[in-house]
Parts: sequence; structure tokens; C-alpha cells
Amino acid sequence: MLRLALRKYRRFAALAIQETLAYRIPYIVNMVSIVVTYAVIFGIWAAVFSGKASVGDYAWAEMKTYLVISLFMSALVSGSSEYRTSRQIRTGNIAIELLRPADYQLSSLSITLGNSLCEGVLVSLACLAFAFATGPGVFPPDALSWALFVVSCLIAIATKFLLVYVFGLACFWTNSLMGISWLRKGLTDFFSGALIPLAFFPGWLMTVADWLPFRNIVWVPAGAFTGRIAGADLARSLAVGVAWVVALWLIARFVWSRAMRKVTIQGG
Amino acid sequence: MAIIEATGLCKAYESAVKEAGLAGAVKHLFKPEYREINAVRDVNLSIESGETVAYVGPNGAGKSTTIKMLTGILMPSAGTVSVNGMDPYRERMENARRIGVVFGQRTQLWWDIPVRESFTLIRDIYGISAARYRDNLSYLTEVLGLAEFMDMSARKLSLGQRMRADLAVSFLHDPAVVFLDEPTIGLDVAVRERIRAFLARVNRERGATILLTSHDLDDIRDVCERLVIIDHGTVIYDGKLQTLLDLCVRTRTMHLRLASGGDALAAKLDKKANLQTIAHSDCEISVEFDRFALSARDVAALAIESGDVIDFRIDEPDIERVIKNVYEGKLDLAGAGK
Amino acid sequence: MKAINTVWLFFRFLSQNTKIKLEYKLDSFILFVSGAALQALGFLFIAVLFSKVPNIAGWTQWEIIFMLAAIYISEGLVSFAFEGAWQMAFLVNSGEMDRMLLRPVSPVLQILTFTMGIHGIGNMALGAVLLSLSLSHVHVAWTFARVLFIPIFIVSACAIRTAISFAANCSAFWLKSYYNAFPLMVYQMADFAKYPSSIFGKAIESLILFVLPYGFISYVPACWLFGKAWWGIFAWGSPLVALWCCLAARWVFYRGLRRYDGSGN
Repeated sequence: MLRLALRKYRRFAALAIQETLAYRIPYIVNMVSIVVTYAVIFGIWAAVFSGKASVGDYAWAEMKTYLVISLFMSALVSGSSEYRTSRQIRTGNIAIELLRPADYQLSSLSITLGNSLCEGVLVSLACLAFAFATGPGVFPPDALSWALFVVSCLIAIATKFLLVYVFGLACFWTNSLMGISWLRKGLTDFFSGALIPLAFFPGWLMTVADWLPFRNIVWVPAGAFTGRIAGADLARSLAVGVAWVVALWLIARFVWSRAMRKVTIQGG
Repeated sequence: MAIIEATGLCKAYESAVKEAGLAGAVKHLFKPEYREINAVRDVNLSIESGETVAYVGPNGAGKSTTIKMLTGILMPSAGTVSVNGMDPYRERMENARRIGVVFGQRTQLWWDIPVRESFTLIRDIYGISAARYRDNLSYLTEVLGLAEFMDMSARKLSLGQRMRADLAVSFLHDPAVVFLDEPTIGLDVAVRERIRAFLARVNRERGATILLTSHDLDDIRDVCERLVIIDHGTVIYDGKLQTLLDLCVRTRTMHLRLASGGDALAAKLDKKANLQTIAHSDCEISVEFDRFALSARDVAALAIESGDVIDFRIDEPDIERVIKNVYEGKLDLAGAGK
Repeated sequence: MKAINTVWLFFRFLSQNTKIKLEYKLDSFILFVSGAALQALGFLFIAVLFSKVPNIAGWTQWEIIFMLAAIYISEGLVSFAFEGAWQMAFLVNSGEMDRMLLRPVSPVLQILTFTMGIHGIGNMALGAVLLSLSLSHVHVAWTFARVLFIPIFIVSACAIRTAISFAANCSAFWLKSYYNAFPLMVYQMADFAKYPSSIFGKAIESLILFVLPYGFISYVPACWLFGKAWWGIFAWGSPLVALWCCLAARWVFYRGLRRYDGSGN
């Protein structure tokens, strides 16, 4: 039973990879676009740090590592699931998708993971190349730290996927998925710490950021990697991260059921 | 000078060759292969002003491609085209002023605004004078019965209403030539007839040249005098529909209803020359006869003198079958007026 | 005559589209809010950054916000008036382009006015606010030339932005896919023009000055207005750059059109 389910979702993932390769140019260009964003961020921070030993309480080595992790996390989860959903709704294929004997949420996840696998491999290589090219960084000291970093990465992937998914569900109520997706991307970029480490935020803003799920996407993994967040702090952050994943999953299911009701009552 | 003149028209495409599955996709990534497709091969067409021409062919025959070259959307790979005395590709916008195009599957109307406002937008785009616009609009409204939905937005129209509105839009600026690509597709019988009547009328009253592609053979019969059949990119027939039928359909079928004695009569008729019984029962016979050898009257007379005929009817030649046979190369078109 | 007609048709289409878009109140609201929020976050980013550092490569906060505002205004205008360019992948692949080619109106005009973006209004407004704020916070020796320069460079900025965006979207003619990421990538490059490109190195600087002249939208004007570099005077070349970009974009479009083979059976 489980094996059948796994096989089914694995096929979705394989399809996703094939789909990605079919559109080879847009895929590469999408990757480049992410790299461009980070080239800008990196340039800014390099300029900020030039001639200074440290800014805030960050040394350049740590900042660099932070940015590489940020790049890695931002690129890891494909934002394609929301386009997929909206495209399906626009073309009316959503009805066909819903008739398929697979849980829509899970199949979306498999497809996203499929895409992530593809992009993740390339991105990791790019990050490594980038990291080596720009000098020393700060690395986790021991195996446990690495393990915890990996855990934080998994939480980050799940959080990002769910955020993309939940925001994407807005397409059942509005035609301007573009606007929703910008909002999500903007909020994510800012409050995850992808652009500026949360430590730099003024007090009130940092409090706001602490109460949002975005921090789990970059700030926590980066902190786990560089050791800035460690020990009890890290344990607590990871726990909160998991709690957010669960909460988002439930929100997703709830919104989904409302969306389904709307579709069946109003005929989409 | 013909209003549409195409000589040696050709169009070739490149199509990607890809193997199935993941392996194929990867291979295509590194070593893409292409294959040349000749959509249109050496097509010659000469259409005079005021003619009504049906342009017919199986799917993939090159109909749409030819139309696109005639309207200036596609550049021919070889050959020359002249519409309204101009090269439609080089002088596309100027030519656009003088032609109308109706796509069966895509609408000309703006989706979110009332039909009436789509018309005013068209008026502004084509620069139609206020007086001419008024006249044309009232003519088209009357003939196509647009009044009932003029103030509805295009997205709310039924397919039949939308097509009528699209037709109106295409004729609003008094085009000299109108191209119609599958205008009756998906429509019900009543609307189809209305559209055919409209096209015949506007051709008669306004002198618009009409070039029509369709899979519906009634469109051909009721609207067009001339039939051009294209298959695998080349023209295989160009002439009157009637000529084609005369040439290619040798046999007609007559169905006779009898009081009794059907089997006996069938056997008797079967022995006659140029006649063949294809079905018989006690009360009904169907005979096929060579209509160049015998007229329907002859056959009826033969049957009446030998049997107890109550009633009879004759099948119209099956145009669809004829054309299908033409596609399949089953009919010899030598001397068919190409 | 034809030019006037084209301009008039442009406004006709734009007002028609705006009317239609405003009927979708929720969508319009969301677009408005998200567009504004995105720009606000951009501003916030710089504010937070500068709360910890006094200047970056010799540029102060408000000088950089000036550059940001210039980008936002030009972006806003493209979104508002020329949003149709972003629909090119759809137009080309769905065959809607056929419809446009069959009308006696410039297809470029039809494409640009195919749709409009409500968020553009908010973007332009916010951009204008940020621009005025930044100019009031930075010490500029205001001369007649400098005052005159403001509207000139804004208009050129919008033209450059439109032309680049349009040309990039023409890639739809070559990349046959509904989802075309190329123009997004080109759009992304404008990020380099939000900050003084001296911090990105010569390669990037050359890119945004000579290849994708985003630099003439924000960087070069800022250099001149704030006296950052002697070659800032080239900011007065923005109109020429804009003209060149428009001609280049038009050329790209007609090359792409030649490749266009229509869609359909």
C-alpha cells in the first residue's frame, strides 16, 4: 500500500524533473535570476564591510557564510507550485487534477520536491563554488551541529513550500496571483533574514520577525550553521519551526477545504 | 487582375524530434534534432473579386498555413502572393484595412466589455466614418440579429451569438475579401444555416469575396460556388463542386417501397445493365445505378413496369464520401478542372 | 496624422483597460497593496541597513533612496501603461498575436496596451513621494539646469525601462513557452541600478551602463545631481539613450515577428 503510494508520488517527481528539463532555457534563466539577486546583496554587504573589521557584531567571515546559506535556502525550494496551481485553474485543468486519485497537497509536494532536487543539486554546486571563491567562512564545528543544520534545512524547505502553497491557494479567490506571489516573496525575503540578518533589525521589528514563520527559512538555518544560534536557543528555534510547519499544514488544509467548497458551490 | 493571386506558394517548418521519456528529454537538451516539414507545397490560387471559394482539406493539410500566408501573418518560404494588389506580408497593415478574418475558435471581441463597445473600438481602429459605421451596423444588426445581445459582454455570449458578433465585426469596415476559418465549428444547425444565409447574402449584396475553410460540407454547398481541395500541402482539386460530383460520383442510389414482391423485383432489376441491387426485402429495395448510363426516371420506369411500387426516393450524392475518397486518392481527378 | 491617431488609440485602449480592471475590486486592491508593500519593504530594507552604517561607498541613505525612487517610478509607469509587454509569451503562444497582426494598427501598440497593471499607479505614486523626500533630504545645489533635469530624466527613465522590458519580452518569439523567465531575468538586472554600481565592480557597472542601460535611469542622474563623479554630466545623454533603446526594441520586435509562425492546427 505504502509502496504503491510512494511509487505514485515518485512518478510525479520524475515528471516534474522531465518538465523542468523540457523547458531548459527558462529553468537556467530562473536560476540565474536568483544568483543576480544575491550578487546584488553580496555587493552591498561587501561595500558595507569594506574597511571595517565588523559591523554590528558580525565579522566579514560570518556575514559571507550567512549570505551563502541565504542563497542556498532561497534557491532550494521552487516557487513553481503556485504557478502550477494558478495555471491549472486558469486553464480549467484543475478539475482534472482533482479527479486524479492522489491527494492534491501531497502531489504538489512531490512535484515541488522533484523540482527542488533538480535545482538543489545545481544550487549546492554553485554555492560551493561561490564559497570557495570568496575566501574563508564559518563552518559548523562538529557532526551534531551539521545534523542540526540539516534538520533546520528540512524545516525551512517545508515552511517555504507551505507558504508558497497557502499563498498560492489565494488563486481560488482572486485572479491576481501575481500580486499575492510578490507579497509572499517580498515578505519572505525581508523577514526571513535573506537580505539583512535579523540581528540588525531595530528592536520592535525584530519582535515582529520573531513571531512570523519566515525566520525559519534563512535566519535559523544560517544561525545553526554558523553557531550564532546554538544550544538551548537552537533547540527552541527548531521546535518553534516544527510547530510553524504543523500550523501551516493545518491552515493549508483548512483553506483548501474552503476553496473546494467555493469551487463546487460556485463552479469555480 | 484577380483579387487573390498566389503562385508557387510554399511553406516549410522545422519541428523538434524528441524521444519519449526522461532519457529523451535529456538527450534533446544536449543534442537537439530537427526535421523539416513541408506544410504547403507549390500552391497556385487565383480568385476573382466576388467569388465564394471553399478551401477544404483534412487536418494538417495546410489549410490554416495557406490562409495565414494569404492574410500576411506568415511569410512564404517560396512563391508569391498578391491580395488586393498588394503583398499581404510586406504591406500587412495596409492590407488589413481591406480584409476581414473570422476565426472559428478565437474571437475578435474584447472579452470584458459589451459587444457594442467592441464595435466602437473596431470602428476607431479601422477609422470607419461615422456615417458608414451607422449604416453598416444597422445592416449587420438586422441581418445577423445582433440586437438581442449588443449590450452583453462577450464572455456571457453563447457560441452562436459570439460567432454572429464576430461575423459582424469582420464585415463592419466593408472589406473586399473575407477569410473565414471554420466559422461554423461547434454551432447548432439553426445557427449554421443563419450564418450560411448571411454569407451568401453579403456576398450577393456587398460583393465581398469569400474564402472559407470548413469541415462542414453544407457550408461548401450552400455558400460557395467553387471548391479547392488541399491535401498534404498541395491543391488536388480546384473547380466547381458540381463538376467534382459529376466527375466522381458515377452511381446514385434509389430506394423503392413496394406493396410486395420485393425479392422478385430485385432479382429482375439486377439482371439489367448498369443497375445493381444492393439491398432487398419483401417491401423495400435499394438499387444503385450508373447515372451516366441511366437517368433516375429510367430506373423508376423500369421498376414500376415490373413491380408494385408505392413510393421511391433518391439519395443525394454523399459529398463527404466524395471528398474523403479524393483525399484518399481513390478518385481520379485527371481533367477535373485543376 | 497616423502618429496622432496611434497616440489617441493608446489612450483609448488604456482607459478602456483601466475601467475593466477597476471592476475587479478585490484583485485591484490586492495588486495595489502588494505593489505598495513591495516598495515599502524595499525602502525598509535600506532604512534598516543604514540604521547600522552611516554610508555605503560614500553614498548616504537618501542618495540611495533617490536611486530607488527613480527605479520605482519608471517601473510603475511600465506596469501602468505598458503592462501588455509582459503578456507576449501568452500572445505569441496562444495565437492571439494573429489577431493583432490582422488589424491596421501597429502591433507594438496593441501589445503594449493589451492589459494594464493597477499596481503601477501605486508604484508611481510611492516612487514620486520617495523621490521628493530624497531630494529634500540631500543637499543639492539647485540650479535651473538641475531643476529642468528632473522631468527630463524621469521621462527618459520610463522610456528606457519600457524599451528594455519590451525587447526582453520579445524573447517569446524565440523561446516557445507560455512561461517565459527571460524577461524576468532582465527585469531583475535593474536591481543593480538601485545601488551605486561602483560597489559591484567594473563588469556589472559596464553591464548596466552599456548593455542594459538601467544605469541611466538612476545611477548616472544621481551621480550628476549629487556631484559624485565627473562623468555624471552624461546624465544629460539619457534622452539619447532612451531613443536608442526604443529603436533597438523595435528592431528586436520585428526580427521576432519574422520568426513567428502563428499557432493553430
